[in-house]
Amino acid sequence: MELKRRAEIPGYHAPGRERLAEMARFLESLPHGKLTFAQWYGHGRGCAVGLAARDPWFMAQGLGLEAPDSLKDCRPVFGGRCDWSAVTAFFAISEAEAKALFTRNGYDGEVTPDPSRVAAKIRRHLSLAGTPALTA
Amino acid sequence: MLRKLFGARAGDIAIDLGTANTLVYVKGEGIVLNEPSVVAIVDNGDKKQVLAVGEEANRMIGRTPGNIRAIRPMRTGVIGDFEVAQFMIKHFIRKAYPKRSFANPRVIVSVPSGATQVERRAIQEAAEAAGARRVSLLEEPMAAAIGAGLPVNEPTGSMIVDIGGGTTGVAVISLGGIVTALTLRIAGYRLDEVIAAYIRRAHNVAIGEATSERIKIEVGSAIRPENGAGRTAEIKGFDLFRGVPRAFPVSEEEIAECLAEPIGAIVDTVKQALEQTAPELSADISDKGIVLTGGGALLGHLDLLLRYATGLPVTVAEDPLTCGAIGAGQVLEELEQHGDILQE
Repeated sequence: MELKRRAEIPGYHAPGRERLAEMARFLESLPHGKLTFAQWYGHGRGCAVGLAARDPWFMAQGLGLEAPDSLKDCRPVFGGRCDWSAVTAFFAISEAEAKALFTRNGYDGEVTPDPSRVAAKIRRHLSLAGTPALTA
Repeated sequence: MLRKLFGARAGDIAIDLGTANTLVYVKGEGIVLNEPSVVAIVDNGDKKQVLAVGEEANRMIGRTPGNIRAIRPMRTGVIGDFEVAQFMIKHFIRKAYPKRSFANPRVIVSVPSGATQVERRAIQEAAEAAGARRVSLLEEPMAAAIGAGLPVNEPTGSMIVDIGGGTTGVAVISLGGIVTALTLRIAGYRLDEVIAAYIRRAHNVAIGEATSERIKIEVGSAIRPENGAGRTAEIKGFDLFRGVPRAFPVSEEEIAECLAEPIGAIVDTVKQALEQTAPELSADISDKGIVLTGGGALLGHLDLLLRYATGLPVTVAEDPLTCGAIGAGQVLEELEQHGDILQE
């Protein structure tokens, strides 16, 4: 019998830490040129959260996109919240932590960092859990 | 005599029908109209009624009540809403030439090189329905090249990069014909959209079309400033977190970063066009360089970026916003010289 990770069980609602760990895995599998912190999502490119919101696992966790066809109006939604409020609620992190992980401020002003760099920063954040909040 | 009575009396017109603005050139008079390609519509259930066109309709964008929509009938350089576009063309022709509204003018309309036959036909039909007695189409890059004063009829290659509201046209022209033409559906409006998307994500603030365009004009740049953040622009928008209006500064560096992707696509298209150009024409272009036209040509340091990327001299046309209309008008004025480049 094949054992499944908890994250693969249908209907399973992962805690924020596990969602972040899954995000790191997701980013490592991302094709080159998809990640940009300039927008949530549009024309096939987006930030980590925007791209994840189109992934079946994250969608099953309740993360979604509002107005995915409009570059300027597109935004993440989760549990009745939207924009950064949705991000903080989905990953159970503060706004400062979310912006340190998912904006250019956390990557020396770079709008299109390598996805593996973002994944590494998420893993570092997870390993530092319990220590003072990570900021940009 | 007959020509004087019927031909010239009709007052021939050249129209630069852009996604952002429509310019009308009247033979013998020059550009007589330059207005936004916007129509305000009142939606009363199944009945649509035009409320305003052009400048007046543009002022309504983002400020209309629920039943009024300010729309742009041109999408990425071609007709997106046929019925509304037809009304807009008719309105502009009549406004540009009110005294001769009883006469049917010959009309030249410029179209993007990448427009399909269906799209070309739609533009032609809209102008015919608007009252034109004969409609000819002119490729936009050709019109822009003529307007920029390039020697289009000479046996020498000239490269034009025309960045409008909806499309970017890149063309190599020689002996009155377009040798290489590429059309990219990324131009001024995409830059505005990208800025609005960035401000929303990075600052949690929603801004309107006019604000994002103003940011592009004030601090938009194709390259990151050397001195850190560079210039700043004060913007006002709606704070999505607090639910109140908020004013804050954005830097040139931020905007340059967020524009990098669409600008990169424009640069790639120019390089692609150069790759597709015959060696003799390439040699001409390397001597004379590339000429930028259209509103996008005014983006800060775009000429510099293209110079770095191609190694060629790059210049911005003297009046990049009106090159297309002036070029189309020049064709109208000198039909005997330029008549061959028109499509009937």
